[in-house]
Amino acid sequence: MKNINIQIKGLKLHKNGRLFGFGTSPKADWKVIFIVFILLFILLTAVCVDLFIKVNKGEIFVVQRGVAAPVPTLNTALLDKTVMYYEDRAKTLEDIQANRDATVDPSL
Amino acid sequence: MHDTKTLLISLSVISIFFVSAAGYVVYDLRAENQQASLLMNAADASVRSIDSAASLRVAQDSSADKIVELDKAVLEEGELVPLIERIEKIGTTLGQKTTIASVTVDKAEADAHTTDPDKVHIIIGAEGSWAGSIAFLHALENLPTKVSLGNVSLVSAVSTSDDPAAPTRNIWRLQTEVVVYIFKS
Repeated sequence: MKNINIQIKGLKLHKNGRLFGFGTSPKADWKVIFIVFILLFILLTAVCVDLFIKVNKGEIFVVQRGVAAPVPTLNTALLDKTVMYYEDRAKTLEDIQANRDATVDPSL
Repeated sequence: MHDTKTLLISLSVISIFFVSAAGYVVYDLRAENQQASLLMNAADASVRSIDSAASLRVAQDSSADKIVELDKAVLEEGELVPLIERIEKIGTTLGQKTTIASVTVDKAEADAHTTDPDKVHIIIGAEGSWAGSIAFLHALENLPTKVSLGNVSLVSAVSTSDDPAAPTRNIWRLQTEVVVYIFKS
């Protein structure tokens, strides 16, 4: 396989034909190991900090509140209206018994 | 070179161990946080429920007299006979000869909502003057409880008497079905 020598902003990814020169000398090996672990450490730290902030703010792992059960209330306006309706009926009933309408008998 | 390889493998194993431990901690944190969230939701719901119960109690206390009035308008089991007696009394007051032809109780379905009332169909007959019959019909319409009228018939007839000397007079025969609703107490 043909080795491609990639160069990003002056950083040579390949040294002596190997990636980061790994395996060419103990110094290069330690350098690679150190950098990889530092990157891993930074990544883990970033993930942990992000997780901490989200948990602290309550943005993550939160159970959504379910639909609240309807709260029973007393509809006083409807109650007043209903009571008044039946009171009117009772009054009408009393009036009917007291004053009978003198409607004309249609058979006469 | 051999030492470097051993060190690398060891470090890789340690790294995998720590990453796995971190994953487990996140998983555990997730479970704990969800549990805490559930408990907080339950606590909120409980507080809301206590608040609404208190406000309902206050509203109930302030409308106690209205609730008593409403209770009077609602027929319960055991109040059917007094209602029928009241209807007969109203008929008598209005000069009607009242008869209760039949009373049929239409029970609410057993699996229906518990607040569904039983329907009672009362077939009422009345005999008297035109004005009395109309007044009686209006009175039935205005009974101070939930009531509906149906199958109303008014037929004119001539009253007959055992005494042949007694004068004949025109009377009206009223028949109607009154449906009342009996709520479970």
